[in-house]
Formats: sequence, C-alpha cells, structure tokens
Amino acid sequence: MDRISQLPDPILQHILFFLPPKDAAQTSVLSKTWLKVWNLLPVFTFDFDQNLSIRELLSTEKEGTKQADVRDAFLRIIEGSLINLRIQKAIIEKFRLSLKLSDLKSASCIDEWIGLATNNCIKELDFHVKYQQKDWYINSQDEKDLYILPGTAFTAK
Amino acid sequence: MAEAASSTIEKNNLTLKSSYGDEFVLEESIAIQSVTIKNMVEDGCSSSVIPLSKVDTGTLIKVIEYMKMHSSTSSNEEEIQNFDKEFVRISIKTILNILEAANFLDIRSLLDLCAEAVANRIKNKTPEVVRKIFNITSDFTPEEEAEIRNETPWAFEGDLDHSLD
Repeated sequence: MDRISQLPDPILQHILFFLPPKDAAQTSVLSKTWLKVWNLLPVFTFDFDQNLSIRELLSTEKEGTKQADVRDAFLRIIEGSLINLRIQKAIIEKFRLSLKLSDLKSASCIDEWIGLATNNCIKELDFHVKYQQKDWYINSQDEKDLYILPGTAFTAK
Repeated sequence: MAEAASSTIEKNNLTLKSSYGDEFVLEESIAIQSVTIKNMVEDGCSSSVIPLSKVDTGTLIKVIEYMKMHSSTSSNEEEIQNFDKEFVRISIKTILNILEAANFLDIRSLLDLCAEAVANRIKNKTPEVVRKIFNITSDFTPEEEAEIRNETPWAFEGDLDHSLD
C-alpha cells in the first residue's frame, strides 16, 4: 500500500481539516481507505435561535437578570457548540442561526462562526440576522442578498 | 528522581534512540515539547534512554531540528515562521514520516505543520493528480467511483489543476 494510506485514520482526518470542503470531499474518491476516512467525519446539526434560547435562559435565570447578560450567555452557547469545528472537520447537516445584532462585537463573531462553519461541508444553511430596522435574510437557495457570505458556503448541496 | 548536585549545574539531558539504534542527546526542556516524552519523564523514565521504535534516524533528526528551533529563545516569530516554511519544502515521503512521528510523539504544532503541508499538495488538484502525487492506487471499480461522485456532485464540478506541481 502507498505511504499516505498506511497512516492511521485520525491523521488522514487531520489532513482533511486543512482542506477546503470541495477538496476534502474529493478525497472520498481516491481509494477505499480515503472513502472510509471521509465517512468517519462527525455529523453535526447546529440550530441557534436567539428568541427561543433567550426565553429559555430567562426562565432559568434569577429574577433581575439583565437582557444583555442573557444575550452574552446565548453568544457563549454558540461559541461553545462550535468549538469542535476548531479542531476537526465535520459534515454539517444543518446550520441555522437566527439572531439580532445590537453591536459590532457580535457582528465580528458572526463572521468568525460563518468562517468556521463554511470550512466544512454544509448541507443546509439557514441564516437570519436582524440589525436595527433592517432584515437580512439569507439561505443556501438565495445567495444574492445583502450579507456577503464566503464563497465556500455555496459548495453545499 | 535523584537530586544529584551536578543536576543543578548541568542541564538535564535525555537520550532519544531511533528505530535504527542511533542515539541523540537532547536537553529535557527541549524534548518535552513532545507530550509522549513528557509523560515518560514524569513517569520516571528520564534517567534511561528513551527508545522511539517507530521513528527512524532521518525522521528523528528532522524532529529534533524542529524542536530545537521552536524552543529557542533567541529566535523571533518571523524567524520561526520562515523556518517552518522551509522545513516542509521536502519530499512527500519525508513529510509523511515526520507527520506520523509527530502524531506518535504528540507534538501538536509539528503535526499541524505537516498535515497542512500535505493538504497544500492536495488542494486544487483532481483526484487523478492527487493519486499520482501520492502514488495511491484506486481500488474502486469505475461503477463504484461514479456512484461516489454522484453522491457529492458539488465536489466534482468546475475546473481543477491537472498539473503535478
């Protein structure tokens, strides 16, 4: 067997981590070893809805908790959920993000999250961001909207 | 661990032994960038020779070169970046050997460096070209391969580089 295919599966998966989604998916056709490695990638679903989460958080928090604290808690939940994408590649069945932007700090977070997500193969992207009076709505079927997504987002099926 | 008077004057050294039996003496503070070696030291193996039966001499020399550079206090970030860039300008076979050694020795930054270097040689290439570069033989029938391509059609659209560079 060739040298690279003799490497343990976790190392081959680690190589995929450094590839854009399209190149990573193409390795599935190289040989049975590579197809197995591709199929071993974890499958994730992410569903972040600010309205739902904040209602849930408010019901469990103590009285008098500030709305802003709860929003920060929501941002931390997203950050925590996406942490795996910093160390491994994944197949993302669905990535849904619905939130209201109130400051530029969360806007830069969104750029980073989208970057993290789109480094993987996303099957369904549902992205809903409200900023002040404007409504920006993007999904994977409609790519001509206001928010500019990285091109890799549209390698999704 | 013996607290000999000499150890406070001399730096603690470790001896790493390659799969070919060649021995290399290295300061402990440099060698423990490898989590595997660090664990061995903490488990009390520090006084003896550390046998690395999965790492050949050539690969061990490269790994030591990397660890020395990355523990050097005299080199700045730019020098280390340039070193890393040059470090992976080597044959595929050598990179793969170092990649496997970095995985076994658990040196995360070296593992990342080599994995990315391999990825860079896969990026923007057709599967046919990637097979040639890495000498991979397809064990699929044409029908099986067509089926896999149909499962992820978006991956096989568009122009790709057919050159071997």
